[in-house]
Amino acid sequence: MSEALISLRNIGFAYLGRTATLQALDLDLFPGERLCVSGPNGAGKSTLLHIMVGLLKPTTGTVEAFGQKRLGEKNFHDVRRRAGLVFQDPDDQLFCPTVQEDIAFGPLNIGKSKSETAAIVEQVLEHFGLMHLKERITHKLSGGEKRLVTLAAVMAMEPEVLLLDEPSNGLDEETTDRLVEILVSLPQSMILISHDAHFRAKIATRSLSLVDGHLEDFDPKCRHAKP
Amino acid sequence: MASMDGFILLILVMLPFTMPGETWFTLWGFVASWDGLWRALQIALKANAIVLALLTLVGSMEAITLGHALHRLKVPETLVQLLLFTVRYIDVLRDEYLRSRVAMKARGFRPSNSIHSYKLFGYLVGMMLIKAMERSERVLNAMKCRGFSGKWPHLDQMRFKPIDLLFGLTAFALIGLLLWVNLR
Ligand SMILES: Nc1ncnc2c1ncn2[C@@H]1O[C@H](COP(=O)(O)OP(=O)(O)OP(=O)(O)O)[C@@H](O)[C@H]1O
Ligand SMILES: [Mg+2]
Repeated sequence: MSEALISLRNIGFAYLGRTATLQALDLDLFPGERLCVSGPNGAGKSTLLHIMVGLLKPTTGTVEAFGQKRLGEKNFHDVRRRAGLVFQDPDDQLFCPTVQEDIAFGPLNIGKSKSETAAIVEQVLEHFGLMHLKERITHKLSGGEKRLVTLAAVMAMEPEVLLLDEPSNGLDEETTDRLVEILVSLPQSMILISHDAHFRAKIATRSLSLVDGHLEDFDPKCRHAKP
Repeated sequence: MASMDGFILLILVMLPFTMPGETWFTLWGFVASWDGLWRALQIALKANAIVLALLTLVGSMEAITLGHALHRLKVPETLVQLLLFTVRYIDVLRDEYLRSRVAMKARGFRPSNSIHSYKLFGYLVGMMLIKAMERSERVLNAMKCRGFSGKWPHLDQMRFKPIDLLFGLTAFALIGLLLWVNLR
């Protein structure tokens, strides 16, 4: 098997003054994989993604990403650019006033010129079929529109890996199908957190579930859900 | 406008009593002066005229356009960002507040003048503050994830067009005319 893009070893994490959320957790993400993670509410799935991009520091264990051990804040700048995290709550992520500014925020930060950025914005919106939202004001979008725009904003940074925290949350059936189509067509490896068994079944190349602070092979309880 | 008038009402009422001048009437031994009355009327008219002008010029504009325009006019970055973040998140916070209120109502809470009510409102305000702070942390995290390192990038798209020049000149001409009429 080829080198893992991201590997976590023996990760432990506890929020201040609480019992451990993650314990002795190992994870490898390989190129071309679409890895789905499920698990009960509060199991620590979002926490896991935040640890991967260095927003939270694990108490034990190591994070290795793109062939390098990552330790301090500085080390993670590069990880955050190459692994695009889509947050669970779109309102956290859409902080710019308008849709096009929000999408432009990432490319401008990584040093693209204004004209390059404008081209990227056009191209990403086109790809996601969101051209009609370009000039819209972010806080006046519907929940589903917000979701798609956050994904577009992350894609604008041309990440090598996508980390998606419940991307199908709040989407109607049609939009979910479109999202599935888009995600399956992308070349990037990704880790998806989702509570929706059907969504997982359509996308996953591998499924894991987070229980008792570590990852286990997924074992379906609903007969419709294939691992 | 009503909110502004409410704000200055107290001053307007007090003015006739505090300005010395020709007596208008006396109330419980306090003397109200004509001069004070004129001054109060002047202030009321001026304040309302300013608010009206502001409403027609700025109020009809998206707050976000205003933010961008201020940035172009070289207003300090921090102030512009403060305005834009306020515009962005005030609705989110308001929704959180309203949701909590509905949740309280759904569980049979009726505001009254009791310790219990005050305590609950205290919780509500406290919760709002904590939630807002936590959200700000999450927003900062989201910004870091997209390469933010302290400097805000701008997609400057406003242009100074001939129509702006026309508007500027017309406005100046009108103000000049007013001044001339006043000073003549
Ligand atoms: N900032 C925080 N401070 C303290 N505890 C927290 C914080 N954020 C999350 N937790 C707790 O850590 C645990 C894991 O949270 P996390 O958000 O990772 O769960 P999750 O698996 O993403 O759940 P969900 O499916 O509801 O999104 C939860 O018990 C939660 O209450
Ligand atoms: Mg979560």
